[in-house]
Amino acid sequence: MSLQRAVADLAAYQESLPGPGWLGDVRRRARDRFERMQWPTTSEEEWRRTNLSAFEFDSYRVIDGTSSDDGSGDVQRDGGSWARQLHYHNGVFTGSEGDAGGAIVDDLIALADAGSGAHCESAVASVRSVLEAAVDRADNRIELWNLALMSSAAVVYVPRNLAMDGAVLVEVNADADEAVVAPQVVVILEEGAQADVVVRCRSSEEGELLVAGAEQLVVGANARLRLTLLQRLNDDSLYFHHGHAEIGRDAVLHRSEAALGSDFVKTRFTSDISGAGADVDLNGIYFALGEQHMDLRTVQNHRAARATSRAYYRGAVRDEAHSIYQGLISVAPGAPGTDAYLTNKNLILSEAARADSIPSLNIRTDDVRCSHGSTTGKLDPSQVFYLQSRGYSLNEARRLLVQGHFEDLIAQTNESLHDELRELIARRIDG
Amino acid sequence: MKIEIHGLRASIDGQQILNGIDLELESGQIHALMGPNGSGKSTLSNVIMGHPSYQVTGGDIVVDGESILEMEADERARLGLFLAFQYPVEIPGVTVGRFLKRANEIRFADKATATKGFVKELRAGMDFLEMDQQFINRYLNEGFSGGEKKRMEILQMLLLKPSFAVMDETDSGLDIDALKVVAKGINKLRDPSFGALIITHYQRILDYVKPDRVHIMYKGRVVTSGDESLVHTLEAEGYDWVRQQFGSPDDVLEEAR
Ligand SMILES: Nc1ncnc2c1ncn2[C@@H]1O[C@H](COP(=O)(O)OP(=O)(O)OP(=O)(O)O)[C@@H](O)[C@H]1O
Ligand SMILES: [Mg+2]
Repeated sequence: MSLQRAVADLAAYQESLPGPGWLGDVRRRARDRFERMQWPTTSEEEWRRTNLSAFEFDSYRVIDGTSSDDGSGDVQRDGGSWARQLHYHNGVFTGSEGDAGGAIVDDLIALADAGSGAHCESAVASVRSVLEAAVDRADNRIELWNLALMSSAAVVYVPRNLAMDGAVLVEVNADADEAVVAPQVVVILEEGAQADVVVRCRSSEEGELLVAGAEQLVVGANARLRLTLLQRLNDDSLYFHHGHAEIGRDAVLHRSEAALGSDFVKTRFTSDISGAGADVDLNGIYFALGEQHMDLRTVQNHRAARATSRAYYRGAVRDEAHSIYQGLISVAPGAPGTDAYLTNKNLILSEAARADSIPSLNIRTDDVRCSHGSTTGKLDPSQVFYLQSRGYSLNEARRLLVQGHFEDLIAQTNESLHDELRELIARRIDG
Repeated sequence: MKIEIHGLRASIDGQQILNGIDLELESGQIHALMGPNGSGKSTLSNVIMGHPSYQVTGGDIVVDGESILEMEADERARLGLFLAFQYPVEIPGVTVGRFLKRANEIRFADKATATKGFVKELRAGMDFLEMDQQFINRYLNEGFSGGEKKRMEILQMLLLKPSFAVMDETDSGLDIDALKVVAKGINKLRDPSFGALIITHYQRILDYVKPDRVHIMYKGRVVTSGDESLVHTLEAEGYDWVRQQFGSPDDVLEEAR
């Protein structure tokens, strides 16, 4: 592993990256757009509460993509029951494990190299068009940075009518200092396909990482995807993430994200619901402490008739932390019969902690059911007293209630993550 | 367990509610406490259990010779006190099973049996109270009907085996079958190591659980105590009788208007 390159030298870095020619084109196009943009400022509504001006993005280093340590020795194998795992270390693909059945679960470059087989070719072609579209769609510099820096991508491709047996784990691990990592996950479900994907972004205890991650989901007609994204970087790191989903007719997307790490978090997930009758659940868990700043945004973009979407975001803040949840429901004129809902509940665990909840609706058609609700408050003293009356100490009662605040959302993630999520939350309550 | 309440005064948000309560309670005995709405029965329950929103402004609560006023609610629970709430709160995200398992561990911390037989005992308790086992996996009280919440309070009491329980209108809102089940639960515990203060508005429950002593509360005081016949007097005469007997002339006037 070498960390010699400053990120400012983007062109030279890109030249060093492996992969097929089209991927080089995607990166160059992203760089081109990147160079013509400024970092987001607080004058933009989405970034109003998240000030980037103090960061010196150019001072971060990138990990040289050619230095592919095979890493198979130091990959932490996860104990969970995964059908297939992909492992990344400091942005480099270090290996895979398990059997994807008839699906393709592999690193993009490995896949493009292997290159043969009809599934393989159509997978690569689909990933290509998804990434090209991502570059065109990107509307801010951080998103383009991810695409310009992308050394490869974790690919999950499930062909038509195939229901994957067991879940996929994409493990993005890093232990560098003052380095930027740009993980990319592409999940494509063809018509009628089904998959359960977990993306876990973690780091060693030490070292300041800047993760500029992205996720591209395509859920075909009648397909069903559950995706859980767990961010558990150390408390010195910075985490940016842009997720996007294209959701087809009668498709189902259940996405959960958990922000349980990092000093600074800014994420956005946009669901473009372009198929009639689709059903989308967006769940979020976040817990900020110390002086952490977490800003999460979801967009429920209804462009087709009779689709349903719900966003459930639950947060907790303590110490002097500040969280922001921004949820937008947008309904296009061509989306009658839309049923969309968003709710945000925040627990304030210290006087100096703050949680902002910013729901907004942009509805351009009649015949819709859209609503939002948010509550922000302290722990309910009558609940604390109830538990104390059953012998729970004040601390234990508070801990149980904070855990309970997240529990129904935890229950909707992949079972292999339940204990880990509970443990991470417990640590943030006590730590 | 012996509970001695002397001249207890308490207030909430600066409002004086309890105006000098004297009451002696003891394991092995069942006491009934009746009194009109707003007379301070729930306040007394909460103050006995140590609700932090209430200020004790005078008097004392002495358990087995020691004042408990400085104790937090959880210390009182570990001492063997229990409160069945008039309005049990919902605790989202905490399953009945998880909640009870831990409560049981805390209560019987020094006994090896704490967790071993717990699941069996829980199932037996639910059978006894005719509760569906599905409740174990539901979040505590969330979406429970009024009667289900009351049964859940009794289930907790059965499992935690307090030395003394205050039951605040556990019989309110119960259908006749549920009432019998609740009474059965109380009677099951009835022995020299268990006592209860049953707060109620109705004679009904006392037909199933015979009280040793009956107290009438009025305007923050226990104005009279007696045996079961007091319940019949109250049933026949209503609280007018209490106002006439124990109220100030103002109260009677107020009533006359
Ligand atoms: N926070 C508060 N501030 C002021 N007064 C209060 C407060 N809480 C309760 N009270 C008053 O205290 C009085 C006693 O209430 P309490 O609930 O103890 O009555 P109760 O005897 O249990 O009545 P019920 O039979 O209706 O259950 C009532 O008049 C009530 O309005
Ligand atoms: Mg009451």
